Amino acid sequence: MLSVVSQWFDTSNLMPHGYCLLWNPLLLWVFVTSDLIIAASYYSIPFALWFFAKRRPDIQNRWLIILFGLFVMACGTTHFFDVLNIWYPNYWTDALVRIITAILSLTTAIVLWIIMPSALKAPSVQQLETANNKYKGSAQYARSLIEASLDPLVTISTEGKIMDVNVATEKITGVERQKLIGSDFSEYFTEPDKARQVYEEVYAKGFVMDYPLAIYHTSGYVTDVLYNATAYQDESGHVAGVFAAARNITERKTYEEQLKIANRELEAFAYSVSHDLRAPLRGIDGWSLALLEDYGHTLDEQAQGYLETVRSETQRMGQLIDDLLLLSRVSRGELNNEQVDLSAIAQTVSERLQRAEPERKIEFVIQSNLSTRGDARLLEVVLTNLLSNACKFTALRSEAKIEFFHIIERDKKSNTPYQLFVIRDNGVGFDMAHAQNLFGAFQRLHKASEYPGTGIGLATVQRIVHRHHGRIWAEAHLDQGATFFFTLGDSA
Amino acid sequence: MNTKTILLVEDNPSDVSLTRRALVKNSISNPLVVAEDGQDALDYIFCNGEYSTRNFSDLPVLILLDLKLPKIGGLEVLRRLRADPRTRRIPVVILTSSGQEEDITAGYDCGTNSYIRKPVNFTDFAETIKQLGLYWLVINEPPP
Repeated sequence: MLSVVSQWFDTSNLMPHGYCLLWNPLLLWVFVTSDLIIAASYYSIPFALWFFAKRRPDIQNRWLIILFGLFVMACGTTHFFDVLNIWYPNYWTDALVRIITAILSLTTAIVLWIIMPSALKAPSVQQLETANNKYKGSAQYARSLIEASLDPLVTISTEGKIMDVNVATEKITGVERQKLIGSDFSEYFTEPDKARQVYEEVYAKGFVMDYPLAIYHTSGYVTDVLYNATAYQDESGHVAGVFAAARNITERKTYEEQLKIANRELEAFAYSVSHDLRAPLRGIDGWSLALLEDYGHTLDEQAQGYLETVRSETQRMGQLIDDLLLLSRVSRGELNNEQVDLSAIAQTVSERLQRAEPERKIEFVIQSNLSTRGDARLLEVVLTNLLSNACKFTALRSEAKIEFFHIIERDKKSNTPYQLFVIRDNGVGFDMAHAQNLFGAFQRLHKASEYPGTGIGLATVQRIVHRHHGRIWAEAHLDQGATFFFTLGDSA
Repeated sequence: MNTKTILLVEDNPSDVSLTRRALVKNSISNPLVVAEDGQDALDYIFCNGEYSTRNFSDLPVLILLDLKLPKIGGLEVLRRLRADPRTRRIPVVILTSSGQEEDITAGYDCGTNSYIRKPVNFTDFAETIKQLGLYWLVINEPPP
């Protein structure tokens, strides 16, 4: 063993390499200088690699750098021995160094081919730059979209922390972006518990729509919002967070509030009309009658006639107030949605009308089993008005005929069937030229002396039909009867 | 002669006179006491204030009650009458101008026995008073 080791350093039987060069000084020094430069250069490369690796901790496959460094160092050592060999024939040691260098070179060469496919896949700097620019562009685009929204937009992590916000969010909360990000999203709502509940719902359902919440501003100002949120997923399909938008509905709330106030005022007005406006009329009528009863004998016929006119005008005023109150009532309040037997209502109304004028011969033809969904009391108002109008305008007919039936029509767009209700009479009719005035309040097509009325009835009827999402119109000819058509929304 | 009192709670003097006239016309001869507001009506019934000397047990046989009254409204008067076991059975007829649905339902909810809307036409009004008197003072069996 010792002999083998001593052989490595035994130079006695060997010749320095200088003899091969015939000790030609020029050739010899060119060799020496070149080899020394090569060796020095090779030795410097591992330091460069070490420096690079230290500065770039992100670089992967660091073992490759070490391998490459060892390989270059081994190469450098062989050149160093080339210089030594010129004077000292340490060929055995040189051989050992060359074996090591060979192993390192081969390993490096093989490893290079092994990693070649993945090395080729690694993007070039230019490719990276292009991709980076593209990414910057789309990020910029997404950011400007988010910022362009007037609605506060927020992304919330699975832990309920705010991840991103837009300027609108800063404005509505009065909190800076940096402070918003990372904070708990629910703390900006007036009801944090409710906000968290909505958040849970997004996870359960995937979204929430138009959930009413209110957001605090640091100044104490509260903004009413409708909250819309969707869960969004990462590449692997897992829910990564919630994307939420809050729509400011302050303006709408203000309008709703104003509408409520206006409605309350209208109701108070109707209440006052109902209570206060009728009482004086009763006084006028009552005291006119008292005058007639107690002092009638001292008044001549004309004076008594005047008092009668006062009374009839007073009563007409009373009727006007009642009709106006009804018109106002049908515009307000909730609408019932119940099954309504229109045939039965028409039957009752017709009997009442016949009783009111027992001397007249009126033939009512009412189709049986006409029914619809709607508000029974309001639909009775419709039928009462239309049927009593028909009675009124057939007063001059010796044989009045009033019909109520339906026709099944089909919707032009959806082809779904619906009922078209018809009330037809053989009365005096009217000129279609004035038909557009028919449903306006206080509009009358006949002289009050011939056909008394307040002109509010058809306006009321139209209001009720409209509230049932229906339409109403009429067809008539002078002296050839009138026909009223109406639909009641989607009843079929 | 009938000596049982009718209490008319009504603030409009013209309406008071017309009611009185209608009662006379229909020969309803019960004494008529008029209270011009809700407070006055309660004072009369419960013998308070200027009515402190009145005999409480002499309760009115019928109360004709208007709704829109100064101080205490008609519905509140009715509520207090119905809340007291001594007065809860007195027949009360709401006699008012309003036919508003909310008034009618509130009236019955508070325990009125009848709700009558005063017609504008005095002939109709007089007829209403006649029917009312006939029903509540003659036909109806009053509480003991």
